[in-house]
Amino acid sequence: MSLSAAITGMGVVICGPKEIPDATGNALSAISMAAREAGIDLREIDGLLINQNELIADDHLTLDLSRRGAFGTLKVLYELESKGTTMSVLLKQATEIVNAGEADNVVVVFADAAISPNAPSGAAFASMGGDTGYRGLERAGGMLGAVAAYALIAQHYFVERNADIDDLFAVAQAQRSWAVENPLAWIREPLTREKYDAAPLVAAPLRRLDCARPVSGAAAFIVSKPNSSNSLNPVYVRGMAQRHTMRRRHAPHSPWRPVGASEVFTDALKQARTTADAIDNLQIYDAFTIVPLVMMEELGVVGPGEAGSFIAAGNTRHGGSLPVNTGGGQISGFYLQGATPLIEAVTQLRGQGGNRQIADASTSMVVSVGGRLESVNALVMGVQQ
Amino acid sequence: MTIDWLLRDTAAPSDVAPLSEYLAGSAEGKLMLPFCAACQHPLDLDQLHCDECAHQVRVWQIVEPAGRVTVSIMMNRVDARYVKQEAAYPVIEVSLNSGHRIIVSTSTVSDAPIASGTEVRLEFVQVGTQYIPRIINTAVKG
Repeated sequence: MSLSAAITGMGVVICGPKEIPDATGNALSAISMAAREAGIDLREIDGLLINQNELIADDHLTLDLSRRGAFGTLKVLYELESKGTTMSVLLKQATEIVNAGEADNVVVVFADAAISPNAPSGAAFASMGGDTGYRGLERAGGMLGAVAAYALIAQHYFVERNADIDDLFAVAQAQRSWAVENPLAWIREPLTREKYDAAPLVAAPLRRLDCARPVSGAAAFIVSKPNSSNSLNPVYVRGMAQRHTMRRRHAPHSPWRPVGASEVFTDALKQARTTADAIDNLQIYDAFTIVPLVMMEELGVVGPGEAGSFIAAGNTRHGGSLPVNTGGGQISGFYLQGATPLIEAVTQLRGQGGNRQIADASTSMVVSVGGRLESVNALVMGVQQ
Repeated sequence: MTIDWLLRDTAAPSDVAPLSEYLAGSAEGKLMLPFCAACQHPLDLDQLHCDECAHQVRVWQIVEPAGRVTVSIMMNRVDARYVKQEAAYPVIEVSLNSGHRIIVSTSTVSDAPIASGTEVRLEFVQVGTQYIPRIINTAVKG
């Protein structure tokens, strides 16, 4: 049987807080790192799939990346925007492109320039919105930035699931316990309740420690057919499913639930020809602590209203029944949008997790979300084809 | 009309589509929202086809400025570019009796959220050159 396409190289660049960010430069550095791992020369890259990133308008990747790098003749080149699910979608597409023989070495790349020495953490995201359409009306209602939108989701969850801030804290503390062992994580001190309660409120009930840690940086993956020049074990994309709810701002549509998440979960597993029992780590796009609570329930991993107690009981920590966000996630790790959970899944499946490594990790599920939980994507990755 | 206690003129929405009809109604103290011309299903401001019956014509109608609070949060991070106040203020999602949902704050100073399920009425305040709905919080109990 011939080998299927797999992730054969990965590169990650995370800038320090005093570095001047450069999205294109960081992307090219990440691509070079990924190419080295895959054992290929940059000129052997013949596909370039770019995660269009509209969150930060001033400095982002464009198709011009292809000119500024040292790639070969590209057989595939495009940008894609599917909100927070984009990287997962691109990895699946890269796999299909290579399996179809349309290209041999395809790069999937993301870069962000969210912070700089002159722009404090979160400042770039706080001003999102604008003065037109619904966002313009929301701003006129005093709702400023993504944190407020997710605070409303959290409040809906609290009301409908009888939950409270103890549940948010359980997520923050569990993920911090993983971040302690992740050299790439931004915050690596264990989190106590006192420290959590001392964090400033951004939009109640969400505190600063309930929010993702923006960074400037880049991530790149090489998708190719595995061969002897690969320095690390290949990671296979085995299945993917997605739903994009057209969130209506009127009855009878839910103002907060990610409709279709349970179908995404089962469809992705079915496509991967596996079952939920096989998942040994779950990586969730967790821009806010409320997201893992909502998503674990909506996927069907736990019952409605049970996620907080499930997490507080230690089930998602090292040695627990279902390790979740094993690098600290976006909350304590770093926020490179949809790249963050993918990086951790690849790290675990390669056995590179160090002290946070899950024994014999063989199947990861990456759940990414977009917008205000309107888009949901589940990607099953494994060490077997 | 009362000048808004909360927001600076910089927070005023632009009156280009899809807000032009909405804001034209607001300027007259009326809450105008779109419905499907065929089945009267409530539509989003920028929605062109009805999600209930797929009809492609919509009508703007005056609706009762009243509804029920679904959820409410406090905005603690105050962005001085848009907000006059230094203290935290409430942001409230209201499900209008018409079936539409909107995000509003209160018409007079408030430092507390409003409980889910509370019935509320709206009035308009001036932000820049536009008129924006706010909950009449002097009448809110709970």
